[in-house]
Amino acid sequence: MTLLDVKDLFVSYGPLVAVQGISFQVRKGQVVSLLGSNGAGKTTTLRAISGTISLVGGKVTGGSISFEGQEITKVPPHRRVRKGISLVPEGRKIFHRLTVYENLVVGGYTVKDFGDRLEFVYQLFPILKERRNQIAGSLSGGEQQMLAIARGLMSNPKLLLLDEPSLGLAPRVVDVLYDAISKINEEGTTVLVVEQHVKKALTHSHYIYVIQTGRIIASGEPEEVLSMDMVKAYLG
Amino acid sequence: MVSATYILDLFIGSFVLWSMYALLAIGMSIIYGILRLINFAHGAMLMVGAYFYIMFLSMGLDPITSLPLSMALGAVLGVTIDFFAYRPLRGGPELSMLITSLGVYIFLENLVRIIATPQPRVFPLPEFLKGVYRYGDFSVRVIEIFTIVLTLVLFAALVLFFTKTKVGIAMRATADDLEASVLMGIDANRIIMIAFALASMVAALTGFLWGGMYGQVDPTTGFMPGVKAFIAAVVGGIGSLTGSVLGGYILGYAEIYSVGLLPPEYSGLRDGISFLILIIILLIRPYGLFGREVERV
Ligand SMILES: Nc1ncnc2c1ncn2[C@@H]1O[C@H](COP(=O)(O)OP(=O)(O)OP(=O)(O)O)[C@@H](O)[C@H]1O
Ligand SMILES: [Mg+2]
Repeated sequence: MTLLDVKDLFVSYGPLVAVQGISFQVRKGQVVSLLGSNGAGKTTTLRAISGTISLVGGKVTGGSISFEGQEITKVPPHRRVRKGISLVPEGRKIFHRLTVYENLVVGGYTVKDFGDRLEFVYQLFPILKERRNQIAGSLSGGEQQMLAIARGLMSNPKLLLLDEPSLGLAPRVVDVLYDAISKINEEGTTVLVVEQHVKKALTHSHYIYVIQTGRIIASGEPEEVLSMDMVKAYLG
Repeated sequence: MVSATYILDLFIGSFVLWSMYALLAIGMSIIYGILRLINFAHGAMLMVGAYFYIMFLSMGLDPITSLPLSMALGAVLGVTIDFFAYRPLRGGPELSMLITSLGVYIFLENLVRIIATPQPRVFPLPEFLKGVYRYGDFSVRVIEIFTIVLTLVLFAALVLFFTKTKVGIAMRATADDLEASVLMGIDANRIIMIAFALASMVAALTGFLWGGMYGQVDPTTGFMPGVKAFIAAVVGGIGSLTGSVLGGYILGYAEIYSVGLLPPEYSGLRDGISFLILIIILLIRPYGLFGREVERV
């Protein structure tokens, strides 16, 4: 079953067309990776799906985004969270001045079973439980990324969008994060992850799309896509 | 020689002034934190709040009903102003909101001038706040004690609201990072509405205290308190509640003591001293005492 269906999507920032007619699907229960180099339009695509594109001066100018068979392009971003879409944004964007616990409270803003969700994310990242009263801005980079993911999971999403979760982190921390992502997926959450980290995408996703200057240039199973010469040349 | 009672008088005086500046500064800080808007119109909300109170009294209501009603009406007015004046400008340059807030100030002042005439109005204090306590040479008015206690209670209540309730924490989160808060399912417009309602309600209450302290109001009453509260908020570090309260204290203290202890011919420097403090603090700490550099994306 298709959970997310992006069809012929165009996104612009004023005169700049950052996403030029891309189409892709995310099937329920899968981990799907969107790969591409700097400026390819990955973040723009995720912002279009989460709806926050309007907050950064961008606009969906064509195509459609359907979630669970429902067109959502016109739905305001905060309501998309209630529908089950959660984005862990590029650069983490944790609430620096709030404590770890308060960050999770805000993450669970839309849910009734806050206690259960808290239990779940504390189990996933026990370090956050230890640090719950610490000001989030004083966490290490890896801990901040864990907090960002935990916070994004508090709303109990059906689809978790991750924007370069491994960026700037030590390999050991990246391993921890990807183990957690696999675990989240095994518990039933569908994941769409944007990466430049090709190795992790290869081992942790069911399906891969490669995006270059706003267009999809390749797609398929991980081994198949990453063995294409064109993709190898592009992603290095 | 300066007597001990005189110093005590000054202490009470500065405490009272602190309370009112701090209450206004908190409102400005809440709005600034979320919208990055220095709301010049905030001082006018104090003045309008005082007029609302007089209006309800003249409709025959008693003071105990009139005060909450004037605060509620202040909240409604604040939210309405946000809806018509600021909301259409969101996402645009911050400067346009700032200029609009100046326009809103001028609009409110003149609207009151037309409706209620430019003449000062007597501000009738309720009976139970009219008394004076005397201990020998020293005297303190009930309204002064009321103002101080109410401010402390209100400040404690706000601290609880911002640290213990989901909406309060969400408001701080929105002030920290608006885009991220939207990603958590928070309706930013609703949070901004709550911020305006809260700030305007407190401003209306400050209007009641101000009127009660000085016995009269006129359409320009809100101007200087608005400017002082702005200075207090900036001195404390705009966006920080603790900072606003501390800034209000520094300002009220400096103002009263400088006027009280300097020779009478210097009392005209009162407002100048506030600006002097502002300049000195900003030279030493450009983001205020409790402020942090604001990162913009
Ligand atoms: N807020 C914005 N305003 C204007 N142009 C933007 C904005 N955000 C991104 N762009 C432009 O849109 C294009 C795509 O950017 P995007 O951030 O989506 O790329 P990306 O694939 O996420 O890159 P990276 O790997 O560096 O994060 C780039 O040319 C970028 O300069
Ligand atoms: Mg990006």
